[in-house]
Formats: sequence, structure tokens, C-alpha cells
Amino acid sequence: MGLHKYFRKIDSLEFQVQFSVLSGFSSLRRYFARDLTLTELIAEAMEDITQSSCSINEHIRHLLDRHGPRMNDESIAAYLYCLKQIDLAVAQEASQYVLNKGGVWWSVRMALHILQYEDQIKESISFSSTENNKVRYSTGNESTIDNSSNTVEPAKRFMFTKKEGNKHQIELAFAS
Amino acid sequence: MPMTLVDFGDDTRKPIYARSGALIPQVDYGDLLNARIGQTVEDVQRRTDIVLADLSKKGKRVSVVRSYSSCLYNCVGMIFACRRAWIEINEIYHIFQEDGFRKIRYEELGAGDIVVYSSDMSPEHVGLVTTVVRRGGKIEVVEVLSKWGRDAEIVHPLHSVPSTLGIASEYWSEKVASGFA
Repeated sequence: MGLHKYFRKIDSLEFQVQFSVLSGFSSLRRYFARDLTLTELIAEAMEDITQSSCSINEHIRHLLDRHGPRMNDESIAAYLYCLKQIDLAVAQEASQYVLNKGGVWWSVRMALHILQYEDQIKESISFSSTENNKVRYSTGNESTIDNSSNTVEPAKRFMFTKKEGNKHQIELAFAS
Repeated sequence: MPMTLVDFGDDTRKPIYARSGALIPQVDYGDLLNARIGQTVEDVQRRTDIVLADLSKKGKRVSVVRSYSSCLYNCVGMIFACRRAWIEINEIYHIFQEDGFRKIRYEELGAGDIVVYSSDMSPEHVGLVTTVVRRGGKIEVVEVLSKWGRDAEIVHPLHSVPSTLGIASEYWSEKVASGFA
């Protein structure tokens, strides 16, 4: 059954109306962070990030393609929120899809938030030094990782791939 | 035929100013303009019916649904922008300051005053007091008109709001007492 038991709850009108009454985007994020269903979904998804993020992404597309943006605005916003916790790159892709398809309110705001958030993080990353296949990255929050030991600051988790030459593809995933 | 919202093709937001002249921030539509589609009256009614049914199960009732408008304004926009704008709830204290509001006690509450609902010390909702009934000098009934997010506009008893909107925690007013002795 996987994540589908969560999908049923999150897609329901009963779930959505908890958040459609809210008057602020920060309120929405605060309540999403506290919601038990979303917390459990994220926890289970973290056990297999690749499969789970793909599953959630596909479900977002299914909702938009089958029902249209009007029927599941808060649900889609919630899925985007979850994806942001699980896999920022997939969250970005899903967000762009939501914007292309169109949304009513919260789904669009969440999508923009994720895309702008990702832009802010990329801007804050800078290469500080490269020597002997070890690459140090620093972020705006002064976290650093060492390629050879793959140690990371507890607050953040980075995934990156070394390519040919000195060019590195950076993929970011944040634990929270 | 779905009812559409205001055509945002050229960003029809108009600036809203407080009494002090300070600009009241609205949601920066920006990229939202090309991505948004409207909600319908039926959408609003469908969601509101669920919310009211849930409230009823908890023993809370509302007086009347004033409007199922599909226009996108929220509780702050209803009160401070005449239903023309969505203004984020966390702007409320800035507006109070710039509009000359002061905090009042519950006992001083009257029609036209504002109720702030909070959850975990964060403002979640505001409502406009429409009726205060006193007996023997004590307040017995307070009715409030408020817009529940992107759902309906509802007249309700003070404490009859969805749990996500918090509890009535503060009362604000800009009323001026009579200058005559």
C-alpha cells in the first residue's frame, strides 16, 4: 500500500478544509509542520527517498490531470510541502508542474515558495577550496562538508555527484 | 458556468494605505498572476459545509453564512480593504499601529471592534464584532463577522471558529469616546 494510505487522507475534503480557512502562508506552513498525517508520511517516505518522492510527484500530477487544480488545492500544497522535506530537487520539479498547470491559491504559493527557496539556497553556496579530490562547500549558514569523509552538519544533508574535471553537480536535500 | 475572480491580467491590485499613510503590504502576486485560476461559489460552499458540519459535531454553531463569495480576500482583507485584497494575517499588528488602534479589555468590547484569534502566540484570524449583548453590565453574547480564509464569510458567536483559527485572545479598537462630560 505504501504511501497510498496517506494519499487517501490528504486528498479528502476533510483534510483540505482544515487549511482552507487559514489567512496566512506562514500559518499554513506551521500547521503542515504539526499535522500528524503529513509527519507520518514524511517519516515513511524517508525510508526510501527516491521511490517515495517519485510516488508523491506522480500523485500530484494525477490529481492535477484528473481533477484539475480547483478540487485539491490544499492537498497539492501539502504534497509539495512534504516533497520539500524529502527531496528538494523533486519538489522543485513538481512545483514547476503545478505552476504550469495552474493552481488556485495555496498550491501556487507553496510552489513559488519552494522555487524561491531553492534559488536562495543555491545563491548562498560557494566553493571555498578544491584540493586533491576534496571539495569544501560552505553555505550561508556556515555548514561545511568534506567530500572525502562525507561528514555533514547535522542540520543539513547534501547529496552531490562528482563529474568530469572539477565541475560538480550539487543536489541539495534538507532534513527539515 | 464557473465564476471567475477578478482578471489579474495586468495586476489589478491597488495600493492600500493605513491612516498614517503607511502602505499595507498585499501578497506579491508576481508570478502568481499567470499561475492562478479562480475558485467558484460551489467550491466555497462545498468546503464551508464541511467546516460547519465539523463545528456542529463539536457543539459549536454559527448564526449565518453571510456570503459564499469566491473572490479571493481573507479576514484581514475583509476588514481593512473592504473585501478587495488578501492581506497576510501577520501584518495585523502593523495595521493596528498605523491605523491608531489600541488594545482594549473584553469588558469594553462593542460593535465595530476587532477580535484577534491566536494559536501558540501567533495571530491566525481576525473578526469584526457585530453585536454585543449585555445583561446587568456583563457581556452575555458577542457575535462576530469574519472571513474564514478562502472560504465563506460567516456571522458566528465569538468562540465558534474552526480550531485551526485559534482562540479569541485580544480585542482592539480605534473608537473614540464622547468628548462631552
